[in-house]
Parts: sequence; structure tokens; C-alpha cells
Amino acid sequence: MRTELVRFLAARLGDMGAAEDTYQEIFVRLRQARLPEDVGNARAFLYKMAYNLANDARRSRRRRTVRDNAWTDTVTHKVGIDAVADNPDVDAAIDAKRTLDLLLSGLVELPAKCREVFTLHRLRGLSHREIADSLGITTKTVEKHMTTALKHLALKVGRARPNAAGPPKDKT
Amino acid sequence: MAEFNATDDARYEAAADWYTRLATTASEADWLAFASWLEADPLNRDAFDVVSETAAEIETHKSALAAVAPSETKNIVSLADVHGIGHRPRHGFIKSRPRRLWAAGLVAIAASLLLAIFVQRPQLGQPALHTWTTGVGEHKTVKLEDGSQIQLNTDTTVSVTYAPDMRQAHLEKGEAHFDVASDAHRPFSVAVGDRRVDVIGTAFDILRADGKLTVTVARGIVRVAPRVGPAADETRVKLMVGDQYRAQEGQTQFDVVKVDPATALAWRSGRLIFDDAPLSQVIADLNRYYPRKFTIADTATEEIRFSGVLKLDDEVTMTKHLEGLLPITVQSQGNDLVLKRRSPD
Repeated sequence: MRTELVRFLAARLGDMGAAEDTYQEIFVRLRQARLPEDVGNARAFLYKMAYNLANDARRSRRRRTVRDNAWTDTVTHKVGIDAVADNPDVDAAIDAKRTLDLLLSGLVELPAKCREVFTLHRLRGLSHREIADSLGITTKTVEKHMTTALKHLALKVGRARPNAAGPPKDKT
Repeated sequence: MAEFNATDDARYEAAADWYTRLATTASEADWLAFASWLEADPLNRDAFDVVSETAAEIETHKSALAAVAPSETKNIVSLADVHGIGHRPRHGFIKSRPRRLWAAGLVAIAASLLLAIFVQRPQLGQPALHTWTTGVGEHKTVKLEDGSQIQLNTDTTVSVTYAPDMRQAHLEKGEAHFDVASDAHRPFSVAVGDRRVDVIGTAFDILRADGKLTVTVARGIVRVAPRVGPAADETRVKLMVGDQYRAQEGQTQFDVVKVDPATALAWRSGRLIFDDAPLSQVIADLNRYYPRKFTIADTATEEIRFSGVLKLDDEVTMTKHLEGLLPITVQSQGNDLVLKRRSPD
């Protein structure tokens, strides 16, 4: 199982060293975690755990990179080392607002049914089954709507990123 | 360092599809297939990074986004909300929820609590999203908080979200006339198909039907541009009063013609005006307003042209108008209303 999990993590993280570290992390967590009653397929469960840890790792890494870059930009523009330090709270707040605006404008652009399914599942916590039953559609359709919504919102977020190639985008 | 284009769309589609699939129950085979997809191209991993981060951002901003949830879903209460179970911990975050509210009486209380939460908002500065729809033959005028007005024509769906620094609308289908209050700090933008219409304060009409897009300016200046990708100068255009922009969705080319805005926008006073139009065009326009569709019986009838005004009345009255104004009879045949040239007496 070790080889498969490390291979999976390397695929997700793009880095063998990070994959090995995260693999260790799984077992640290397993020792401490209270396992749910029904783990189901043990191997699938381990993959899921590896997946969650890897996603978290990628996110933290990106946040660190963004913070570091923002700090570097700030320092470059200041005269003197003891200039006003970057305020991570302000940066975070601006970043959060920008992201919220992007998500909101993306939400408006979704077709009504797609947005409704997305809202019920992601924002109201209904299961795919509950949504399918309430709206009289199949769970396959629910999943298709979720994919469409997520794709559209991800494209919005991704395209607004500073490291995207091309001219600066208008805020839509 | 990705360049965004059509392959991105396909890639993000695949990434979102994987994310959705893996969020529910995934078998070992699914996980292995996912690993193969990631290994196929480093850009796949990048796309998946964005998708999974977006999912996390959605989770982070959940309450702000939920505050703009469309009103149609207000009445659907999840049993999971009531019982406080069924919420899977995502990525290590465990939500704390009240547990075990089993009694039937508490179902009602929980439901009214949920509604109360919706009623207490909107807070100041909270963006709000609304969607309006008209049925076939229906009209609706909507007033927005900044004084702007949107008039919806037949068979139309429009949604709008206002935030402190943006006013965003989306014309999903049909036709709407936008009368936009001037606000230089908050540009007003309408997303329609693969294009967008940007204004500061002006009055214009957008019609989206059968893959065709028409923008008519009644007042002020608007700009039409593609919604995605860098907008090259040839694909963007500024329109002024009397200009009408016509385009096919999915294609970048467009025409701008001169029209009389009053004629194009006559629907707002319940009329359609035609100037030497072929009968096929007349019924194509009419059919947007009526559930039963007008059709043409034969080539002899097809050759008829019409100049004049049609008042948008109920089907029976409209049939009388047509028979009065044109050399035709209108016969009801099942779901169709068939127009046929009258034979000379």
C-alpha cells in the first residue's frame, strides 16, 4: 500500500519529497484520529485521507508563496528597512474581499438551475439525493450541475490570478 | 504559468468533474484513475489546485454567499439541518452542530429559525442576488436599489447582483430593456452568452434567442465585448443611440446597423412594428409571445410582406388583427395556428 499511496501523493503534489512527508503525516494523524464507525473500504479510506492532506498542503504552500511575494513587493517599494511592516490582516482582508467578489459575480453568471443546485448543496448542505428528490431530477444531473458550477467559479478565480499569462483582465 | 483558452475550459471541466466525483464515495479504482489523469500533464495538477482551492474558498465564504441565495430555495429545509448530522467533515474541519433534535415539534422550530436567519439579513453592504422570470406572453418591470429599471419581455430570465463596487446582471434568455442609473464608481455590466455589455448609465435593449444576440441602444453609450479571453480591438465595439449590434453566439463577427430605437423597442408599449418584413420574420417575432405557434401553410403565403403595427393582444384578438391586416386566413390546427393566403374571390 505504501508504494501506491506515495505514487498517488507524488502525482497530486508534483514532488517526491513532499509526497514522502505527507505519507508520514497520514500515519501521525491515524494514530491520533478517532476513526468513524464505518470506514468502508480501508484502502479507499487511506486514499481519501492522503487526498485531503495533499489538498491542504497545496493550499498552504500557495498562501505562503503569495504572502512572501506580497511582502517582497512591499519591501521593494519602501525606503529603509524599518519602513511600515506589511499588515497581513489588511492584505488578507483585501484578498478575501476580492475572492468573494469573484465568487459572487461567477454565481450570478451561472444558469438558474445550476446555481440553485449549487446553493442547495454547497451553501445549504443538502445531499445530492435530497436535492434530486426536491427538484425532481436525477443525482447524475445534480452532479453535472455541481461540476459546471465549480468549473465556472474555478475559472473565474484562476483567471484573476497575478501569475496568469496575458494582459490584466477586466473585473467582470 | 497557464495561458487561458479553450483547452483550459476542457481541463477545468475535467478537474471539476474529478473533484465532484471524489467528494462522494470513490473506489480505489477511481483514486488510481485520478492519479493517472494528474500524471498525464502537469497542467492538470495546476487546474486541480485551482479547483480545490476554489472549493475551499467557497467553504470559507459560505455565509456571505448563502446570504445571497435565491429565494426559490428558501423553503427547502434539509433534514440534516434539523438532525444536526450528515455533514461530512471536509479537509479536517469538523463543524460543531446541535445534535439529536429528533422531536417533530423541533422540526418546525428549526425551520422557522432558518427562515428567521434569512429574514434578518440583508446587512448593510451585503450583496444581494435576485432572479426574475417571465412566462410566455408575460411582461414584468423590476426596480433596482440604485434607481435602475429592468423591463422583462416575454419568456425571459434575468438575474442581478449588486455589490459595493459592481453591478452585475445576467441575461439568460429572452429580451430585456435596461434603464441604468448613472454611477461611475459602480459600472453596470450584463453578461449575455459569450459576450458582455458594459455601461455607465444608459438605456438599451438586449435580445437573446435561438443563439442570436441583438443589442439596441436607446440612450447613452454601451460597449459590447467577448466575456472571456483578452478582448482584441476588432471584437469590442462602442454603440450609441440608434445603433443595433447583431451577432451569432459562438462567433466573433458582428454587424452594427442603424435602427429607429422606437421601432425596435415598441414591445415596451405592447406593440410590434414591421417595415416591409417577410411573413416568416413576423411570425418568428410573434411566436415568442404566444404559447401556440403561428406557422405558414405554403410558399404562396410565404411571399407576403407586412408593414404596420401589431398590438400584442391575446391570441384570439391577434388572430383577428392578422386576418384584418393581411390577405390571409388563420386556421387552428392542434397546437398550431396556420396562416394561409386567401384565394381571390
